[in-house]
Amino acid sequence: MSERTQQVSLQAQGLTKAFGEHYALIELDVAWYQGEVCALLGPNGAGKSTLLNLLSTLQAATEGEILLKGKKLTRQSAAELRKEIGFVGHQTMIYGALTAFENLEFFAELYDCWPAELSQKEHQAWLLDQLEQVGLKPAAHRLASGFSRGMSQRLTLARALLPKPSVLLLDEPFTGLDRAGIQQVCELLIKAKARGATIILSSHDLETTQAISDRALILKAGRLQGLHTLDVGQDKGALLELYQGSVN
Amino acid sequence: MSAQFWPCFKAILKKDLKIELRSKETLATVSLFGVVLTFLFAFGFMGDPATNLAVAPGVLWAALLFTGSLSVGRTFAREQENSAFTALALSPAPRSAILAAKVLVNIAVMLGVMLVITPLLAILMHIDLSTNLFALMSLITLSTVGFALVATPLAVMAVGARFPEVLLPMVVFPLVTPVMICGVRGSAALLGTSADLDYLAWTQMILAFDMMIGGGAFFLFDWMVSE
Repeated sequence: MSERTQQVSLQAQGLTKAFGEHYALIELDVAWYQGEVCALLGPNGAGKSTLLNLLSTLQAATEGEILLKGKKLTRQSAAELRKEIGFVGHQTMIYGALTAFENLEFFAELYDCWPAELSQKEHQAWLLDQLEQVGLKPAAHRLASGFSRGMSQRLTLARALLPKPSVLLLDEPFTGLDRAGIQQVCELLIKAKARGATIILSSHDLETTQAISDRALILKAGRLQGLHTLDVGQDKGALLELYQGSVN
Repeated sequence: MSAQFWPCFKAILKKDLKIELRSKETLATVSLFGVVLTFLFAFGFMGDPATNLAVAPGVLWAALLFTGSLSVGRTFAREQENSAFTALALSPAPRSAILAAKVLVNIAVMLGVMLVITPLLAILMHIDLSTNLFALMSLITLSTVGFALVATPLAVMAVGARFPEVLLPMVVFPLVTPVMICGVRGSAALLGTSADLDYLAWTQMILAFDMMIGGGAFFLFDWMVSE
């Protein structure tokens, strides 16, 4: 990210999540900017997935609030704001009994994200184009149940990117992908970043994460440990050092 | 009603029907289960014509209860695969559209099964339903709607539980008991084995139950999905 003159896209204010007596996230205050990639780092149980679940509206915060483009994310406003959020979780969240094409078609209908300039006849070509971007066009009409983990992950990403969300939340997006797949996903994320999307990702693939991240947010036992800017050309081990620092 | 309701409702309904017609998983397994149940009940309770008439309503509604429970469980088991329901919950689709589509799919499957079971029961127990066919079908349809309205939102909650196939009937059966009682008594009135109330009164009670539970289900569904 070139300069911090960009607008705040997403903001967590005093964000706290408790499961019974266990606090998974404690009073988190962070602002994320348009067109940035922020890596979430921390050991298991640090609160990374909880944070992503809260930001995605999958779970409700115990205390604190989330602002998306300045609008408070509440139960009432969530329906309208969900269109702005793309989420890739641990599970692929796709229908095995539908083909890759049908999966995308279904979500395109739910999000009503067909490009306005296209006629209904051109929708099919547009969906195939979306599949081509993740390398799945040859498998467009195959049932998703027969896909490998890597293919399913690509379809999941295509599904998340379909409505061109302004916030993209990714929990282990490189799982199951080979080097070529990782490269392809990185290119898609860089494209999304270039159009101004805020990308928050949690991954154990530190090398890839560092290559595309602008900042690293370190969590430990649900608390914010640090927020570091990653410079272009920084030593490849920088993120690893930060990660190890959070584990120790 | 949100402008997104109808497009989302149609998309979810189309998706569920496409999957069901492709696999025929739920319809085939639930129909088979219903047929086996009907045979068991019919041969277990079959007697003279008067006994058959007295027993048939109970058999019919017991079949509706068990097959309905299995059918609703299957509808959401499909969503549980790969956590697909999470993607549905994270979409901007109005919760009411998700619930309405799911309820309609469950009603369609359950009615399909009842269309197999009802004539089969009539044949096995030598009961002439031709004179009361419309009235009986309206009772069955309204009972099915009531069952689906109770069971569908609860199935969403059961999906995340450890033993959904056990939990769902445990929660649903007590709640649908009023519908079952009205259904049994209403069809008994139709067949002339019960004279306490006219079948129309029982039908009206089921209708009232459907409206009340339907309102509650649509009101609470957003909370059920979010939590």
